[in-house]
Amino acid sequence: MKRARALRRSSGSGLLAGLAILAGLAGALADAPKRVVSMNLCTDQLAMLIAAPGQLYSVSHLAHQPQSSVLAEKAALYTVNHGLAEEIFLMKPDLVIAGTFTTRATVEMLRRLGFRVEEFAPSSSFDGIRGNVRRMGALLGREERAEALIAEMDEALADAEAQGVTGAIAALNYTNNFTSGRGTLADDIVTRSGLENLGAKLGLEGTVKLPLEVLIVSAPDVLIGRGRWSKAPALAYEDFSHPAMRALNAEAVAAAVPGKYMICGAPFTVEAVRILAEAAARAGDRGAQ
Amino acid sequence: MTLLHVRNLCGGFAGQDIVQDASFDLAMGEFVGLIGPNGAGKSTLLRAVLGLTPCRGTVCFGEDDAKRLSRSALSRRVAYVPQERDVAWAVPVEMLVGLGRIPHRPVFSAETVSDRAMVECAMAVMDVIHLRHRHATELSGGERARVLIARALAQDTPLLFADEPTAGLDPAHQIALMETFARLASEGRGVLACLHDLWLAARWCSRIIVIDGGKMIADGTPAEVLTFDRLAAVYGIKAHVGEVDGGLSVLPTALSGMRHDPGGSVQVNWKA
Amino acid sequence: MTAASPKARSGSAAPTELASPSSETARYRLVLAVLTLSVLLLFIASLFVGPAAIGFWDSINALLTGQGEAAALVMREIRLPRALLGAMIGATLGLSGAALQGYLRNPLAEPGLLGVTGAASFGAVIAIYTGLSALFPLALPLLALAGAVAAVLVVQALAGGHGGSLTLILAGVAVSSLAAALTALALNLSPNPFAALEIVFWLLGSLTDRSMVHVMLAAPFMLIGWALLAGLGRSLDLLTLGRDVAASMGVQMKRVQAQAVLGTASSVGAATAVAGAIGFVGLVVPHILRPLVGAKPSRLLLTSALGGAAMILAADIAVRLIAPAKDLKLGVLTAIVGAPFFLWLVFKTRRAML
Repeated sequence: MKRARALRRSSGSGLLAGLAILAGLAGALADAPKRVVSMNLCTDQLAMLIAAPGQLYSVSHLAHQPQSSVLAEKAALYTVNHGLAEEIFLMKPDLVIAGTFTTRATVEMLRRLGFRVEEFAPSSSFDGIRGNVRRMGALLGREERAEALIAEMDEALADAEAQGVTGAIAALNYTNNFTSGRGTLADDIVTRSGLENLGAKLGLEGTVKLPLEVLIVSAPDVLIGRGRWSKAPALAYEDFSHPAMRALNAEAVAAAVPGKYMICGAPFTVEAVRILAEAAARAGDRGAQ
Repeated sequence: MTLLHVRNLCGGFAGQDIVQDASFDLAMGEFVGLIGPNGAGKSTLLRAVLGLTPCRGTVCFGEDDAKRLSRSALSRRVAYVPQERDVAWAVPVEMLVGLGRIPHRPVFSAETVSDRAMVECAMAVMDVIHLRHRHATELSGGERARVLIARALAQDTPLLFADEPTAGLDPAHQIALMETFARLASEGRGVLACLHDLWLAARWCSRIIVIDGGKMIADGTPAEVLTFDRLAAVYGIKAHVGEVDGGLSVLPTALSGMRHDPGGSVQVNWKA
Repeated sequence: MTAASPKARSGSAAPTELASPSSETARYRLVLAVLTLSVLLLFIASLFVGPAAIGFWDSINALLTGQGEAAALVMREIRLPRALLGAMIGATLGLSGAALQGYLRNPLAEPGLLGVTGAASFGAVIAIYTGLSALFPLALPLLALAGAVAAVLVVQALAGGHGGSLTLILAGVAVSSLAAALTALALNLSPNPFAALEIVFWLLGSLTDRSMVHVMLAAPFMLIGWALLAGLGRSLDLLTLGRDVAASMGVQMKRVQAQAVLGTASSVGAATAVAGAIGFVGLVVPHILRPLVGAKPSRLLLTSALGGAAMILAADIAVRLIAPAKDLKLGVLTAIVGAPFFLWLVFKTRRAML
């Protein structure tokens, strides 16, 4: 139990990679699963990318939503689940894949019912993505597919990184004034695009509040937004139209990275780096003028 | 001169007449006692005359129809002390008595010297000067009653209505209050008070109105109204009526058995 | 009138006692002066507290001259509206608490406990989350006002007039629970995933990152409400003696009712529309100040407005100092102070209630 917790804490580190290799060995020993159910947006997308035809049976309802899922169209091919134990039970899967943020109660219930449940921690860096992709490949008996995806991703990543201009400061500005600091996937994305992440510069860790005042005073060169989730009104969006924020918007280069590229770490996360690298180039041009 | 003119007054609550067809006048110099058993409609009659409860009929203050008088004009004609002696806040006594001057002041104007004098005088009359810094909510029932009457005296109106003002007062303060009311009347005001103490009414009122079952059944001087037979009929009591120390004295001594029922609905047999 | 007391109490009627009312007035003026001064100091302090580290002189320079681009934005667009709203909302809550207590003759009356802020919250939620306020900005304060009017009328119908404290509190509990449930329902039904998280704001209130737009939206409604409530002084004084006596002394009860209901609804509605439901200020402030002004309801109005402004400004400073990074809700702090106080008050007045 203690070790499991330690593992979770150091997610994305070498330990996780080690675990992935162990899991891969285990997967190779057993026969590849034939009826897989995924109940987490991030494992949904990894499974869709890696699984053999007919191997994946069901993905979560979030995977069907275009705001959150890059593979929303592909998700239509699979049965929908809502992460409820009862629902999963009736699907009779031979492997259940969950995120470590999935409800503990559901996961424990499924294990009690005799299902094999594998949990994935969210990736907090590109290293983490590589580890998760390899582990998924091993679990599904699709190691080759996984390696191909990683190779493709690394190539695209190298291209995107080459475009970026270093030096400009970028602020991640999510709804409700949240931002990402050190130890987050978003930080890795921003850094690889050649920008300096304001959250990390301010010494923040994880995804936390960045008070509007601090954002204004820091005067970032690039302002990274995730775009609106829904047309329906909410106070969460009021800050974007705050007079002080509008003044900042007029000064900074705006970069909108659709949320779906940043929520989950997967090969397509490179797209976020590419978008930001372009913004970094624009900021560099503006600075040069 | 007539201060109050009431004709055919009916009313009480919406849809139910507690007071039925009351008619009387009240002239300068009169101290009128309103007596009758519990639930007879004494309090309702006072409230109806003041327009505090829905009613029909004619009420005139002096020459003016009450319907045409504004609330603030009315507040300079008549002061009212209800039976409830509830004070909401722990206000110092002199501030409470000072509220009596508000109807005489334009909005947002401060208390004048004459206002102060009137308040001091009212407190002196009701013997509450020594209580001036005490909180009205901490006083005994009798003390609070005197403070509230002082408030009405400070209002300095031609007419004064008081609902059971002597309840809870010690005999000395009861007598002092009746003397004060009688003197106010003799100075040219009119006083109308609901009373339960027949001996006080008999001795100090200049006139007595008896009300029973919502109807006025007698109106006259104490000697005319407070007879043995009427007290037996209205209250169901035996009372000694006579003269003591040069004044009329009524002393209830026993229940008399069957009570006369004016409304035909209440039948009380005390001895049953 | 000459003295006719049964026993003349010598000395007690001495004319030297005539000086006392002016000492009462002097104390009232002192209380007003102290409160005004503390509101001013807290207002200034509020301008200099915030997560962004801006030097004292830079702040003043930025605020007054608009120089220093980022600092000026922070001072003028973030901290100034926050401090202004804090003072305005505090004044509204203190004033309406004092007015409602005087009008209902009950020390437990308060816009939050009576469900007025809760119902105003619900009105504001409807205006914002249906998108109505985006099309027509005045819909926000107007719907909040409508909710507040409905709450006051329901509570008054249930417990006004001769109802005791118990009826008043029960009616308030019913109205505020219903309003809170409807607010939560409306937010949960919103298709926006963030809406459900904003229940906390509407139930507890906050001044974080409000702007001048909010100040301008709320100010006219608050000013109208203040004017209506401030005009109640004399009637509230007379209501100390009960409704009948007040009426017999010239108070027009219907007008007073309209004034109290609309004044409370307009100012509290506007306050809630921009900052959510902040509770207990209207309960605590008048109660603390009452003994200092001789319990006279008219004197409690202005003092409670100032006291409320001071309390909200102080609470909002505390919220920023205690947990700078956590966006602690203002209503959390007022409730932590207010709720035990309310319990103590119920304990103290329970004999009168039952």
